[in-house]
Amino acid sequence: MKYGFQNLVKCIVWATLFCLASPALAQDAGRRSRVPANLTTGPEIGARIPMFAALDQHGARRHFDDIKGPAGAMILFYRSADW
Amino acid sequence: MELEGSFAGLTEAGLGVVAISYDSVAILRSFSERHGGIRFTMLSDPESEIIDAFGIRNTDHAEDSMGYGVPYPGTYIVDANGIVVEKFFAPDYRERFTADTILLKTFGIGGGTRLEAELPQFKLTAYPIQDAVRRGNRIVLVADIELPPRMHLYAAGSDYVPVDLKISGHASLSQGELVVPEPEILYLDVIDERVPVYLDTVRIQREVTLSAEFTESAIDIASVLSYQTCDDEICYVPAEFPLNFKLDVLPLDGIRAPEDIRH
Repeated sequence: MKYGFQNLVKCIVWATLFCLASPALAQDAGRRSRVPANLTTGPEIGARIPMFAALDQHGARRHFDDIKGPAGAMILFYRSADW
Repeated sequence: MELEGSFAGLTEAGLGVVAISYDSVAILRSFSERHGGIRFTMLSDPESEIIDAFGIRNTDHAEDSMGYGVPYPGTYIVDANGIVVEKFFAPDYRERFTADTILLKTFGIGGGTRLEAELPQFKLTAYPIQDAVRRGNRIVLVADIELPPRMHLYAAGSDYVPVDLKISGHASLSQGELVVPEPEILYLDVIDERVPVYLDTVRIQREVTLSAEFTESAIDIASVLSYQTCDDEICYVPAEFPLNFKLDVLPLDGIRAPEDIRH
């Protein structure tokens, strides 16, 4: 029999293990967000970013519309290129 | 700079690339020249106006400190209309998702050296998102599983062993989130049970962060794929398959801009 007594025992063992592990699983679910809670992270997914323009590394003025590709853009904010 | 290495992949994905900081044009020019001409756009935001427009200024820095005006480090993926599709922020400026990882997470593309294995119940292709990392990088290890017809792989939430990819203990690695797709619910009429499973193909991702304190030039990441599969005749015993990834660790750029143009 494919799902006989041994499988039943196995199911009970795994069910017990699963119950023991469930607080950890619940914590995992709570951490699912990729954004730490204490940070200010600006426009949310689905919102429009503020348009921007500034000078680039060559001294040329660049606007978001000049920078974006057909699929959009990766916009990376970082501390500094100096330190 | 790590982003420069991902430039081709980003361009292929149809994305423009811009990195924004409070550095002067002189500092950006110096950095770009020192790295043989940076191809992506580096924007100078010396008054932190763009940073403030986004609302991501790190206000922990006093006005007379070098950090005054810096943003929380983070990355947005936006569409061509400027709508945010994804965003990635980290609590520690030294630990952030690499551009390659963001490409995989957002568009499902990219990846380093493939390890392929024909396991008894499925075909496995595993790879790190990139073969070379820098300390502090958050990357993902990927396991692509291709199941034959009628075979299913258990997801979390059943009494069976759910698929998992775990790294073995390593002092310089911290294990992050396991990213798996939404499972399908399969009805097993023999035992009148509904179980969450994966069918056909499934991508398992384990996030891993390399410590910012790591000093070696390479790292071996030992991990184990654990799983349980059944087909419509046999329920196989839970199994494990070891996966070892060897990654080069590139040095960080510790050189500053010339003294007369520094912050």
